[in-house]
Amino acid sequence: MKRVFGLADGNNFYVSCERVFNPYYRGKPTIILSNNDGCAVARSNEAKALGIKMGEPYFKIERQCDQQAIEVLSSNYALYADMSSRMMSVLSEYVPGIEVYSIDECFLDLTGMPGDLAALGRKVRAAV
Amino acid sequence: MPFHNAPTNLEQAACGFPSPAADHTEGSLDLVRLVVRKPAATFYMRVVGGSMAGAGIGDGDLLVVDRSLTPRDGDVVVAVIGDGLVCKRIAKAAAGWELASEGDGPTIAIDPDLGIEIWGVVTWSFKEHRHP
Repeated sequence: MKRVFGLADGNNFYVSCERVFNPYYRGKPTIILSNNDGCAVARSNEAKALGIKMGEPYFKIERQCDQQAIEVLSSNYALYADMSSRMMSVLSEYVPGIEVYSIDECFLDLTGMPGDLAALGRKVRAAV
Repeated sequence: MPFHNAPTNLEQAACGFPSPAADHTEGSLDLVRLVVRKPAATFYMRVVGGSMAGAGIGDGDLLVVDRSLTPRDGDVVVAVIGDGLVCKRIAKAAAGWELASEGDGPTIAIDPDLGIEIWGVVTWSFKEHRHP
């Protein structure tokens, strides 16, 4: 039997988590820094558009963040872990076979799932 | 009987007189199980301010908010208004859905294009009556 897998991946996951609880950051270029505020580890689409690279050290982009009004947040790993387990639990309601790959990525075993897989994907995304 | 259905309250001291109550024990009330219907979608929030006093919700109360529910007319909800999350009552008007305060506050039309949308439905609220 042909096996079919899906991959669920949170968009800019840490930024998205912060935006759930603090709408102030919605629509604004926002980055999250790693431990001890070292590097940019998550970037909103607006921040990516301004050229902030993944893993860039904060001291190199501090001036740019000031000048372009980029919101800068320290990471809150307890929040991201909590939101991650909620996301995985919602995924497992729709797809019985899941393999959690990282805090915001999860493989879904879609082999033999009935119906239109794209529609299922949209339904799962809306629920998350 | 399948193993997982075996009673968990087995009497351990088989050589003594078995308690005649042992067959009638039940789990005790667990508040979390009572108020949290969907753990993955349930969040707790602390109330700041008294604008929802008319709904019995006061400053410092704890709200249980379920984000998986579809709001119904008259529900107490948490909504996104601009930069913040606020607690309001939702009402269906001729023009569409509105957010109403319980006091003198303005009535606000729900419009995602203006950054006004429902965040979740308040299912329970907790008020501490004896302050430490």
